[in-house]
Amino acid sequence: MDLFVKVIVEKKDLFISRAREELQKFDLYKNMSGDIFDNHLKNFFGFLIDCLKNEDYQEISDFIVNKTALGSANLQIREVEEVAFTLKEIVLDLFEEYLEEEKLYLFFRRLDNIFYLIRLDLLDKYSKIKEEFILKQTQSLYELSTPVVPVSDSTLIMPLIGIIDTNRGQQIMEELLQAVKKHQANFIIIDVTGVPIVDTAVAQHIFKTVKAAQLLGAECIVAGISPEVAQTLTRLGIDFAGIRTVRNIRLGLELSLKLQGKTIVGEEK
Amino acid sequence: MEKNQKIKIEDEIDIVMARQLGREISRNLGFGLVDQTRITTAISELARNILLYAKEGFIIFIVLENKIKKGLEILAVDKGPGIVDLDLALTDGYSTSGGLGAGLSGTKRLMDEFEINSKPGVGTEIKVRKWLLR
Amino acid sequence: MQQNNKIPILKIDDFLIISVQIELDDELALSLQEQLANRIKNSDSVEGVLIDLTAVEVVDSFIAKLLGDMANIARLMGTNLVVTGIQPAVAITLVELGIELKDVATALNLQRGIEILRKGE
Repeated sequence: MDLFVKVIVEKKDLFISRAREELQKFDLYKNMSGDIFDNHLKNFFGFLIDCLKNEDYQEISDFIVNKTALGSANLQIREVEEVAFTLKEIVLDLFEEYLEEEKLYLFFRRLDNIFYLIRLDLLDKYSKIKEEFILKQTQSLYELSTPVVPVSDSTLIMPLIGIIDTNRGQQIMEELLQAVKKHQANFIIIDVTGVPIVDTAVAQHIFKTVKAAQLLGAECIVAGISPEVAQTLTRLGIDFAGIRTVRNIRLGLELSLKLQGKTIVGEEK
Repeated sequence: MEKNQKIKIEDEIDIVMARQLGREISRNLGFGLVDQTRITTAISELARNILLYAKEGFIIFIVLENKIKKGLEILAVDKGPGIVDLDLALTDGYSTSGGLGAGLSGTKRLMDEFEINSKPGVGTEIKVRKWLLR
Repeated sequence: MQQNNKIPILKIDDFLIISVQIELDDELALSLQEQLANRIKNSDSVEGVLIDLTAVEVVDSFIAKLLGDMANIARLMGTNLVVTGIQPAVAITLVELGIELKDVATALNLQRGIEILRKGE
C-alpha cells in the first residue's frame, strides 16, 4: 500500500473523531443518531480508502448519494460542496506531521484531484435527483390543476388554469375522457378563462378532446375564451366551427340545461 | 425481450398477431395505455395496407434505447407495387381503396416519426417511431 | 354464407345488440353485416341496433368502415344504430387517425344507447 493511503488508514480513528466533530455543525447531521452517524462514517471511510487505492470515484459517489443524507432532494447543492470540502480538509490535516513540503504538495494534489472527481460525479447524480423531484412536482401540479367538478348527474366542469403545453394537453384530454366515463357525463364545460395563451397547438388539443368526448357520447362546451385569445385564434386562422362556445361557466351551464330541454325553476314559497 | 422481432404478414390473422406483439412490446417498454393503443392501431393500419396492396410483407419491431430516451421503431416492408404518388398518398383523407385505409397521414399522426420509401414496381418501406417521454 | 356463432346478435326487448368480443376479420365482418340485415328483416319490430365496443382495444380504419357500413344497412332498413362503449384510448386514437364516424351515433354505454334509440334520435 503506498504511503499516502497507509497514512490515512493508520489515522482512521482520528479521521472518524474529527469528522464526527466537524459534521455535527451541519443541520444535515444534527438530528442524526450517534450510532447511525458513526456507521455512516465508518462506511464512508472504507469507501474512501478503496477510492484512493483504485482512483475510482463511482462507488464512493454512489454510496454518498444512495446511502447518506446527502442524497436527499431537499438538499441545497451548496451543502454538498461544503460537506465534501470539510471531509477533504480533515483528510489533509491527517498529513500534518509530514512536513516535508514536496511530499505534502503531492499528497495534496492527488487528494484534491480525486475529491474533485467525486464532487463532480456527486453533482451529476444530485442534479438528476433534483430533476426527478421537479418532474414529480410538475406531475402533481398537472393533476391539481385539472380538477373535474361534477355539477349535476349529467354535467361536468373542467376549469383549466395556466399554460398548456403538449404534455399537459395530452393529459387533459385523457383525464377529461376518463371523467366522462366515470361520471357518465352528457356534458362537459371546459373553462379556459384561466388559460392566457391559446395557440395552434392548444386549439388542436381542444379540438381533439371535443371530438373524442363526442365518441363517448358527451357534448363539450368551451367557456371563457378571452377577447385576446379570440383575436389570436382568428389571426391564426383557427376556426372553432362545430364547437359550442360560451362566454362563461354560468352560460355554459344554462346551455347544457337548454340542450337537455330543461331550465332552472325557482321555488314558489 | 429480444432487440428485433419480425412477423410475416400474409394473412389477416397475421395482422392480429402483429398487433398483439406490438402491444406487448410497447407495454413492456413502459408506454402508457393510450400510447399502446396508438402504436397498436398504427401497426394494424400498416399491416392491413401490406395485405391490401402487396399481398405479403413484414412488420419488424426494433427497440431503440440510448442514454437519453427509449422507444419503439416499427418497419413495414413489402415488395408490392409501390406508391406512385407519395404526396397524394400522404394527403389527409386520401385512400385508394374506397375508405378501407385511413391513408398514411392518419398513421403518421399517431406516431412521433414517420419515414416512407417507395419505389413503383419494387416495393415499399415505411418506418415509424414512438418515443417514451421520461 | 353460414351463420356465424362467433359474434352473436342478441335480441333484448326490441333491440338488437351486438357485443364485439373478438377480433374481426374480413370474412367475419361481411358475415356480420349480412346477419344483421337478415335479423332486422326477420324481426317483428326493431327499435334499434346497438354495437357495443366495450371489449375492443383497437379500432382501426377497417373496423371504422365496418361500423359505418352497418349503420348504413340499419338505416336503409328503417332502423337506427348506436355504437356504444368506445374506450377513451380508442376514442383518442380514432380522432388522431382522422377517422370521423360520420353518421354513426355513439353513446357511453348500452344503457345510454338504448335511451337515445328510444327517444328516436
